[in-house]
Amino acid sequence: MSSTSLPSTSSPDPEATLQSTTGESDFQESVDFYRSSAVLAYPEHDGKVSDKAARDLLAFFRHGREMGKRVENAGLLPVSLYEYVNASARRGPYPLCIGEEADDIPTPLTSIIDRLIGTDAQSDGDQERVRLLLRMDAEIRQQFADHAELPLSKLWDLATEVVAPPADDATSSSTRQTLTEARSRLAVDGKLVGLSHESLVHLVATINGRMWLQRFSEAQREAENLALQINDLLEVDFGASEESRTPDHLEASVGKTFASELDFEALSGIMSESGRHHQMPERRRRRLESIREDLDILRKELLAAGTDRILEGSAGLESAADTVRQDMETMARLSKAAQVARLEIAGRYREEDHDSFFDGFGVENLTDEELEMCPPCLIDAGSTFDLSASSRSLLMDLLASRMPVKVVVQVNEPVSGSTGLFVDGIPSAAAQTAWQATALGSAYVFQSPASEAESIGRSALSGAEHLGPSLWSVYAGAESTIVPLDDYLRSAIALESRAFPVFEFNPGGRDWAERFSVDRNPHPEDPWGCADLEVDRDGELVPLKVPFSFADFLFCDSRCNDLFRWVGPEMWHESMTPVDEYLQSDKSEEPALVPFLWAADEDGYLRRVVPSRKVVRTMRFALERWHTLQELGGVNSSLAARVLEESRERFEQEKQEAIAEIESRYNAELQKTTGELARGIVANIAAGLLGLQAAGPQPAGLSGEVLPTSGPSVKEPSGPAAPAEPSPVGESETLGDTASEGDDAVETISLDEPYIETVRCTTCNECTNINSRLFAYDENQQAFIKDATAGTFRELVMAAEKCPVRIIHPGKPLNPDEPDLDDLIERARPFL
Amino acid sequence: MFGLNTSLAIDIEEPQYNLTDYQSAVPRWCPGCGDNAILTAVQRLCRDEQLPPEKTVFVSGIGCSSRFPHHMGTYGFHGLHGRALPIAQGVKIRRPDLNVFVNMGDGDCCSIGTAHWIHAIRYNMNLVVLVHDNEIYGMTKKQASPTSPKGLKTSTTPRGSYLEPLNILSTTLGVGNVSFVANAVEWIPDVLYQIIHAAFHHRGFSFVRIAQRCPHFMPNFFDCLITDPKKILLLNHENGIRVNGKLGETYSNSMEHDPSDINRAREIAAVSDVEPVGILYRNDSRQCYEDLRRPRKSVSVGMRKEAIDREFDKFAVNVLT
Repeated sequence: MSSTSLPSTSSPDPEATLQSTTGESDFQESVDFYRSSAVLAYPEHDGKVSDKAARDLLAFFRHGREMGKRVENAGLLPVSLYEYVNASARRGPYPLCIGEEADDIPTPLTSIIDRLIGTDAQSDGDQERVRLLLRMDAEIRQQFADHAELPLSKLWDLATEVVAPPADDATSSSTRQTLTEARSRLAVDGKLVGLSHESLVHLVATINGRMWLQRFSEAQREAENLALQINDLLEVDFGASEESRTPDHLEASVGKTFASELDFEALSGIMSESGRHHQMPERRRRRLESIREDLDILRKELLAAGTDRILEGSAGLESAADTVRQDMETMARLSKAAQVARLEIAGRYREEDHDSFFDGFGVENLTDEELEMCPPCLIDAGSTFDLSASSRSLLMDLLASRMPVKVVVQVNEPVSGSTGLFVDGIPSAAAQTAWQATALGSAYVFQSPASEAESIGRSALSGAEHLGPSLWSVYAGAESTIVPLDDYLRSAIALESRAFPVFEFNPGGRDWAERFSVDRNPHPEDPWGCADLEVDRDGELVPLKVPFSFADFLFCDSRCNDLFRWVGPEMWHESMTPVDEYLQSDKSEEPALVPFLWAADEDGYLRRVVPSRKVVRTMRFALERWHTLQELGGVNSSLAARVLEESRERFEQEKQEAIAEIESRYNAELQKTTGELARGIVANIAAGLLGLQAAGPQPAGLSGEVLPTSGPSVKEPSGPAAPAEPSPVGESETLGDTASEGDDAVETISLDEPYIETVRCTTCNECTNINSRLFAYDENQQAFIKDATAGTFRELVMAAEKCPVRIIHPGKPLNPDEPDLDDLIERARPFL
Repeated sequence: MFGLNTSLAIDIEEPQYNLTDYQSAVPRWCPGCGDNAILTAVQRLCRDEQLPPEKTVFVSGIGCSSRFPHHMGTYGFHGLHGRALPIAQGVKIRRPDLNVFVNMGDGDCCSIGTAHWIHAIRYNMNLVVLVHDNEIYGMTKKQASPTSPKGLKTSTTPRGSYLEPLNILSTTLGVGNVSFVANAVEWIPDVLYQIIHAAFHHRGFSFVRIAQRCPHFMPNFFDCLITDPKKILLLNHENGIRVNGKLGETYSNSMEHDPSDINRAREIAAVSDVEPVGILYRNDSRQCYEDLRRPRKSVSVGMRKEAIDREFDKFAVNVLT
């Protein structure tokens, strides 16, 4: 079966194994690791079929009249499944390694091993290595069955001891070296989970816990740090207490080494008398002790809630809202403790201001960022069929809220009832949980059969990243099957047949295309999965393309046995049509046709199974639902097709209109030009006949411009150019001059007045010591001239000379009668 | 973190400190002393950062510069010669919540305090260390210090100093675990402020060497740098300091220097024809010693008592049963 999600099987032939494993190793693309040894074959028959057979077939299909053979105990199964059932070794995606880091993507063991194998295994040595790694794959699965609690690396070590036990020979050493090297390249490490509901819940819980822990870790560190700092304050306070100065305490603090050399009684006396020892008020100490305790305990409470808590069943759904509310209250208390701690550490807590505020501090005071740090509330709701209508309603209420509830539900029946489902083919209410949640618009929703390990792993990450509610609706497979099928196949057939397709709704997407996706279904553009088989017909292998439709899915369910009959080749009348062709064509309108499914018996002989009409009706309904999903996911969208068609029509219409307009314009131009040309020719002839020269140039073409009809009357005005406009340059120069004058005026600084380059002042006090009314400091403690008239020119000159950074400029003397002015002016000259 | 901002959570007026809140006794340095400029720059920093005076400590050793704590309106510790750093480290390890500054002279730091200096760099505790380097012992009347230039005549070297001076910057940059080294001159107050500001915001041992004039014993010593702005080489960088405007025009000799490049920093520290001013090196990823040694569990006095009582109870006989 090509490109399906059914587990690959392999023949014992190692060549076949190697060919299949050397490709790119995504599980969904790895094919045919094992193949059943039995070959499918057409049964022998002479080809003669009576018309009575046709009538009997039709009677069963249309009216349920008995004919053919019942399918129970016949050992039949859909032919597409034949090569996978009973295969002794299969590499399915489980177990799944969930990793250890927050951003590790859960990865199937198969993918991990395939990546180690790589794509370039061509040489014999490479093939030897591939065989070795495949043996490791099988052995790790075996070890996992016995030691599910161990991480992959430990399982690898155990498997290595089995696959390559220690020995002294060179081969063993080389093998172990190869395995050691491969171990170092494991893409991911951590615990493995198998396929079960408990494992799924564990996976979702682990990843949600990890992602939340990542969000919370910084707050947690800060809470720890704040608690330590508060503790420091309390210890310092204790150091100021009488108790800290008791001889016993002093002796204990010194230690034994020098205890005998000190008189602690005396020391205690000295310390008690020395200085003043202030302890903080009792009220403050109690507050500090309280927030230290809160920072420690509340943090741990949140940690436990975020990583270890799983609510279960209806009771879990009922208590979820209260649990989230409690978490928020815990977060509010922690936030309050942290804020008080910060204020206390900064010494800025003022009881008169802060007490009343913090007394009323609650959930409503939390910031968005803090609300996002509230731990997720994980709910294992169990099977949707076990939930009452009121519980399902409660579930929808939770999913419609903004609370961080993370719900896992298990679906056992994709369609309603057991045998009654065919009456109208309505999907079960329980199975529609994911649909309904998607319609709410606020919750992350993921629906998938349990077989889709990698998709579930990725969705666990996406759902955990979404801060609001999330829902995982997982189909585990029906209990009753026509032949024994393992857990994996029971869920995988729901995917191929589209009975329970994968879809994801992530409200965090920017648009619908980002929010909703069906891409993780195999061949999402097709109505269902399809197998390309080879069947033995008279000793020759011939191809056979077989769909795995919704009818095949129902055929696998033993509760539907009454709705199918199988017939041997003696009844293979030409009126029989494969059910997919019957459904997709107009053949269903032909009353004589009878649809059938391909099945195979235990020996590999093909059989035809005729479904009842109810099956086909249900199948049609399932297909419509799948088409709806496809369209929502942007596959085969009718809206897009309609828009495309409309656009095409509009484009075609516009094109035709444009062509028509061009044609019309061309024709008009042609007519006009032809007329003008004719008139020109006539005029020229007339002028020639009258002996006059045409003034214009000879017509050179169809251009109207060169035609002589313009004549002198339309000659371009000539003569001297219009008088030049007044030159703007002169104006701008004038303006420029004006502007520059203005700038100069602004820039002009009078050197007559004293000034200080304040920004360079070093606060050396030289000038202020000379005259503090003349010189003063600004708000940055740098000097400026406060009042030039408050001192003499001499003081200004002295200050300039003393200033170590030479930033005082005395200017010119204000008082012309000041003594020794000439000398001072001379001394001031270097500082101008 | 917590998205918590106390000013957002509570609408009250925070106390506002101004420059005078950080001023104490009138400085008793000589008029014209460069220490005044350093004091002003530090007081401006305290005001701009609104450091609570009761949460701020200045620790010093011995020397003119070591009078610094007396002139700050904060807590202070005027220590022993060369021992400012171990005292400051003690304060910091016990009270990591305090803002701890250290003021030392060149003699204090680079002579008697050398061992502490080197190891303090290695410990990388969150301190702002200001070395007032006037290249002379001023307080004790002009003896040669480790940074005195060769040939300088002093009372201990009347025929001129025989040795090349110690390069403080190169030495600091040579110690493993160094995390912040800057060079400043006190006569460009704006740049000095920028550098001290950056040092304060660096978490780790922020070492700032400041060329400082001693007008009494080294008059005109720095004149060649003061009068010729070309002799000052400003180190500009987005992770360092930026000098623009008129000051940038005055001190136009500048270069781009990435403070994360320690090799280039060492080259710059070794130049002798110009005075590099700016942040030579910073590495914000170095872990502080107090963080490494911080106890991971908070143990209160009460908890200790409980633990001891539990131990004692193991040896006690309950007479009531």
